[in-house]
Order: sequence, then C-alpha cells, then structure tokens
Amino acid sequence: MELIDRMELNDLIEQARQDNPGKRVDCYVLFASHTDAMELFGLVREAGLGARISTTPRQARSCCGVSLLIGCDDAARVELIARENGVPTEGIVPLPNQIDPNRDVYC
Amino acid sequence: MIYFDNAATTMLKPPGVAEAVAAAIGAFGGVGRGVHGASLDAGMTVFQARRKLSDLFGGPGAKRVAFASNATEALNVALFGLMQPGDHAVTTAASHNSVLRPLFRLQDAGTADVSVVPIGSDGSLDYGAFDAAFRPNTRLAAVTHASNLTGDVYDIACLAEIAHAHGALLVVDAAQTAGVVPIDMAKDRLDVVCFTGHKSLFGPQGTGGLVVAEGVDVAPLKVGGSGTHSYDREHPAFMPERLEAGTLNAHGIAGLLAGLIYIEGKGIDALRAEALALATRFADGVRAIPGVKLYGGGGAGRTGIVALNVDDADSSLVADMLNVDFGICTRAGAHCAPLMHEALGTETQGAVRFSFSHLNTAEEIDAGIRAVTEIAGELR
Repeated sequence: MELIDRMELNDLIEQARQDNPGKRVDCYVLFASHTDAMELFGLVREAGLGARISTTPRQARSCCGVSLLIGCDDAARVELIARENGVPTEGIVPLPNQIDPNRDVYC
Repeated sequence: MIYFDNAATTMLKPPGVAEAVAAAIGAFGGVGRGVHGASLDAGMTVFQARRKLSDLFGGPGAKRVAFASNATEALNVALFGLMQPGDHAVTTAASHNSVLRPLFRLQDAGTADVSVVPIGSDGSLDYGAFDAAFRPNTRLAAVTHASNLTGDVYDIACLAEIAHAHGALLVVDAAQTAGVVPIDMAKDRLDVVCFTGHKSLFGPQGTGGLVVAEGVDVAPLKVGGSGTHSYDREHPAFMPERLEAGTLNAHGIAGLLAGLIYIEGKGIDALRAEALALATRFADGVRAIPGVKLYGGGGAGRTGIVALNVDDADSSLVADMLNVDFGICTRAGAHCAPLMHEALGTETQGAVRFSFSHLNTAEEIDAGIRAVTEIAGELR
C-alpha cells in the first residue's frame, strides 16, 4: 500500500482532532514487516524525532503487527525519511490517544 | 588444549561474544512478539545483525537476510525453496552433505535431476566441465565457496557468470568462507549466499542464514508464527519473514552481532591473512615429515585448513593420538564430504583436518608440527 497522500493525511489528522476534542491525536506508521518497523524506528531516532514502537491499535488494522508511534506534527518528516531510505510502510493513521491514564494497567 | 578444529566451530571467540549472549539471555523478549523494551531490544539487535550481514556479503539490504539455525538449514531453505518438479541442478564434488543430501533427496523422489561436476585429485575444479553440466532445465547451481576438507577456494564470480549464461541461479555455500574470504553478492552477481554463524563469523552455534538477491523468490520451507498478519491463512509473503517461522534465536544472534562487529573492526583481509599465515607455517612445517601427505592446493585460493594423512594410518588413529597424547583438537574421518574424499582417494582412510583461526598462536602451530613429527615417527 502506498503512503497516504500528504493532503489526505493532513485532512485525516485534522478530522481526528475535530472528532476527539480535548484528546491528543497520535499518528501510527503501519508496516507489513517487523524488520521495516525496526529500520524506520532507528532512522527516525537518528533524525532526532520522538518515536516509539507500539502495538498497532485494532482501529488501525486487525493484525498483531507493530507500528511506529509518532507525533502527528512529525508525520511529514517521518514520511520523507521512509521514502528517502526506501523503507516501505503501509500508511500513517491518526488516532486519538489510546492510553487512558486512569486505567488499571493490569486489566 | 590446543584447538585446531575451527572449520567445525570456532571455539575461541573474540572478546564480547560470550558477554553479548549472556546479556541477551537476561534481557531479551521475543523478536516481533511484543512492543515492550525486552522485545524491542531483541528486535533491534536482530535488525542490526541483518544489516551487518548484508554489508559483509555485499547484499541487497537487511530485509533480504533471513536467519536459520546454521548453513545446513539455510541451504535446505534455498534448495527446497527454489527447485521445482522437473528442474535440474548442478553441484560439484567439493560439496558438503548440506548441499548434496537435499539435492539427492529431490533426485531420489523423482522430482529433480542432479549433475555432480568432478573435482581433481588436487582439489581443483574444471570450470569447463562445470559449464558443460548445464541443461536447458537447469534451475540452479549449488556450490561450495571453499572445500571444508582441503580449504580450496573456488571462483564463485566465475561460477555465477557460467550459471547465469545458462539462465540458472547460483546458490553459494559460504559455511567455510563467511568472515574469512571476501564475498560481494552485488559485484559477483550471486543469487543466494548461505552462511553459518558459529565458524568464522565467531557467533554461537544455532545461528546462520541466507542472503537472497533482489528478484530471487525462495519459497518458504517452514511456515507458522510470524508475529504479523495473524489472521491470514498463509505465512507472510515478504522478506525476511517469508523464510522465517517461529521465534528467532535472538540470544544467539546477539553473539553473532558481536562477532560481526569484531570482524568489521579487524577487517576481513587482516583476519584471513593471519589465519593463512598460521596455516602456511603449519603446512611448511609438516610437509617434509616422512610419511606425511597433504591434500588440496588446486583451488583459486585457500582458507586456513590443512588436511593430511600419515602413510596409510587411519586418520581417526592419528587424530586420537593428537588428542590424547598432545591435547590437540583436530577432526578426522569423512567430514561430511564423501565425494571430495573420492576425488582425493581418501574414502577409506579419511583425513586429519587441521583448521586454524587467527586466534591461534605461532607457538600452538609449532606444537602441532612437533606432535605430527612424533606421531609420524611412531607410526612408521
């Protein structure tokens, strides 16, 4: 799957923010391969951007793969890094923050 | 103990290898099986190892490096994954059973045919005979880069050129050369390179794999857990997961990565020069001993192996004397290379294989020469 069109991604991020007032929207870079996730994670960290490997939210895709959790403000740069280094992704998905700070972490 | 069995497994490992394995055992989770720190540490280590292996072999990148448990498993993956019913394969008599047995299994099952190119009594390969062995339906040639018996190195760039001229692929068994002889997949147009981690890459046993050129599609030998695409009926089609099923040996790969970093720091040419200098010192020291016969030398180069016999003495007896009387570890017998022994005329006697690492010392070499001298004198 090609990366989401830049304008479309911006629209999606904005839509997610409007749909979730008061909540932070994060972006998840999706991959087919764990190896690709590791490679882009290293490249993004080398570029000085904040990122971490995350479980892929079920809303993004129904599989057990990993994704790269980034700030949506960095999405364009991450997308560029992936393209410049030939790391294939399956798109970037904006989602409202998945972490509920009040939850019981052992649930 | 003096260890001269490095072609089987390098026992002496560089600093950092054992420590890396020990640290990993206490710190790693499953690669690609979670997103917690323990899993990510394992995943990043495996990724770094893939990248370094691709760099070492002039490969197409980390994603084209698939891990296996050793070179034999990697060769099984490559050969069973590439050969189709009705295909023909070419190999040479220098091949290890890790190449011969998978091919003979296909042949015995009636699904493929195999041609074995002879090796000369000096270990040499006739490249013209290799060229003549190809047929219109030849899918691949599977060749050893260096004999595990004599250490003779074969010109894989030339073999690849010949294979490609016939529209076939070249699969290289680099078990004896990975880490000591430069390999450049891109320059030499090699299609698949199979390696083991526990020999000259200085990793632990249970590590190995294959590097697959872009455009070469190897069907998986094993399928199952992949860590991704769990709802799909079929195993992922993308590399490297395509050729890996089940949890990787990340603990071992951590040690392999330490070995790769060591090789990168020392330089492969320097490591080979040191090992060859020791092998040459040994060969020069035993060549003139009455009754001692050395094998090989007809290749395009050598690894740090010296194979010999003492008169017509059973190679197992000589190796046992070396072990019991002198504390010197070598390997005797057939070395899983039956056709090479036929070529050398040593099917019955076998051969005593001394295989050196740059971590051996000149003093150890001289002790080995003295031991062979005494044994030869005793057996005459």
